[in-house]
Amino acid sequence: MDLRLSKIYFLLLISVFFTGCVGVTGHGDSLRTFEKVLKNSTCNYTFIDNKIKDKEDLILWYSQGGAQARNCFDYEKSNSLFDKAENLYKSDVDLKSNVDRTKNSLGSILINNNVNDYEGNIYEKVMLNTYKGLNFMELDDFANARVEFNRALDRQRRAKEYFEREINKVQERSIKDKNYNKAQNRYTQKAIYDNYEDLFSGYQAYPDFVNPYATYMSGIFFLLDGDYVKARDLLKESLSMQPKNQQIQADFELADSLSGYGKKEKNYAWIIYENGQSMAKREERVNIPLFIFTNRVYYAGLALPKLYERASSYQYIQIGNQKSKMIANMDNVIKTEFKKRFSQIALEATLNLIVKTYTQYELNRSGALGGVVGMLYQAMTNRADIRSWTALPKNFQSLRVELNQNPVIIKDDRGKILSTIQVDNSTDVLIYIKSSLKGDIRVHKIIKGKK
Amino acid sequence: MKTVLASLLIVSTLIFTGCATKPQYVQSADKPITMGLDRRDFEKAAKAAIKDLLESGVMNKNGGGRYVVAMGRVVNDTTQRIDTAMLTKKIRIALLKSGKAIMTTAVAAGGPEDEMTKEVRRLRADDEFKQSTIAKKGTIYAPDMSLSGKIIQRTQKANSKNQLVEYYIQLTMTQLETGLAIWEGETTIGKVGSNDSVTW
Repeated sequence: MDLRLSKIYFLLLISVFFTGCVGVTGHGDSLRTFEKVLKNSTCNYTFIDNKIKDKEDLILWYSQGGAQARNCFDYEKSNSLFDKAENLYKSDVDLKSNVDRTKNSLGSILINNNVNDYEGNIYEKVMLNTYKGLNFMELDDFANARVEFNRALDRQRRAKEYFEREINKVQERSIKDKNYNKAQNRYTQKAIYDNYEDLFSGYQAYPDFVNPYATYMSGIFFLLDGDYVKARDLLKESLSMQPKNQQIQADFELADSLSGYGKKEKNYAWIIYENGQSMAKREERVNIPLFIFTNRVYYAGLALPKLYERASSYQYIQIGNQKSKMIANMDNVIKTEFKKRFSQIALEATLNLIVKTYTQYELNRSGALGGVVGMLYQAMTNRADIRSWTALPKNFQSLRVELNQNPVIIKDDRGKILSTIQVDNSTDVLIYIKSSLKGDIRVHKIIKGKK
Repeated sequence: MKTVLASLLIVSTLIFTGCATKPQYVQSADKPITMGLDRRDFEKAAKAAIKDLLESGVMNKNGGGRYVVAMGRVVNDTTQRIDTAMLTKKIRIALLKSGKAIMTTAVAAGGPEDEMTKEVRRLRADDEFKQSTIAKKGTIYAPDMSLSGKIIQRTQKANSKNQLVEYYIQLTMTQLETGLAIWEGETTIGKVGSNDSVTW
């Protein structure tokens, strides 16, 4: 066996040995199991506890666990898990050493990105702080809720600039790769992007990674906390993003009047509705031409992540004749960020495919056994990274009614009663409804001063 | 053999003990330790506030005596999880030491700091207690003034690598009879540091 071949065998062995099996199996099974756990609402944390014990993808599983605990109304547990995820975002993602960054990049190219720990998305960080804020509101800790909403807003401010820097850093490393030009070949690129045209066109992209929900919800928080000036500013910002949105307009007008000389004479119930399940990723096989051999075009299957839509729950909810209005489309927030990240994802996957194709070519030349080993390696490790925080909703809606009724009766889009909530007409209330699927309703009630 | 064993012991001792960081007191230094607010920031703000407040003369009661001050709401409008008592306690201690004011714990924004003042009065109907030792009616002092405030944070990009964070620590002393703010003070704390991560 010549030296080059033994190097390749050694590399394959080392790769598989050090990365375990996620490079081969991917993460689909774990994500599907979690979805079942979330649906059956038994509040059994065994699955999440085991995932955390494994010490892999902790950011993902702390986030999923936090969402599960919130669904189970265990706000303290939820915040404790979200806190852990947030700490890791700082230590393991933001402040990751250059050595670790290079190691991850190498893992992506030699095996696939599944062997690297989950690093999340910007919209996930923003949602993490928003949920923590809502949990603190439930615990009647408005002081800490304010801190969390401030954090969510600061993350939105940082998003554009941070993201550009992050992308630049990764791209600088990729450009140094000797196969960079081959991966960027325009025919190769076109073959990839043709498969994503349906996803990337015809939707309303939000600017600069802003999640309109985080801004709106912060505005409502400050309104409920009596900080009308800050509430007005945030709702004004929300309105500037969606000038025709009647619900935001009405809330802005309320905050505007209260921040001036307006006296608060009425009390209200805000109903925030989380509808359905957000977009998630699945693996897409794309056949692309590779121009890596001088004498011929070589076609190979590239495994890439692709977003797909998941179920919606009730189209809207209603109280009396008032229907909830959409504040933010989470699917579009997710799509906007995925689109920005996609060029790098596709580049790394193509570089990965080129390395493996070369390897297989060398092994093929070495004889039958080598060819089989190479083929197996390529087939087994050609997996897309489909991880994402799947507990998020499809969209966020809002509705405000004056409190001159008790109880408040919330109905679904067909007029069927979803929930009857006893309220105290002497104070504002925030009723938070999450429905991932029709029939699955979680109602959270927040009143300042009451746990 | 003994030499080998001894060497092994020394090497393993070094390996297992050598690099552990021993606890030590934080030394005063000019450079900030975090981008958040730390003990030194609160000390600086409290010191500046109390100096300004006492020098302003608003705490000098006509005819001598002391004002009764209640704690108002101090809003933490930052991204840092901090207990505002880290700031206000220092001011309260200095006020008390100055002999010009005394704090009440019987009434405060968000409820009394010490519920015992009210609690002890609930024993009036309980004949297990010697009634003459229970606080009499009309003995609790109402506050003359209220100390409130806000801590605001502003963060912005300083250059390609750094960010600037500014904290505005604002305090107000309100005369409760008139509702007028008789003293206001502000301390600004600015820090420049890496923009790699968030400030908390």
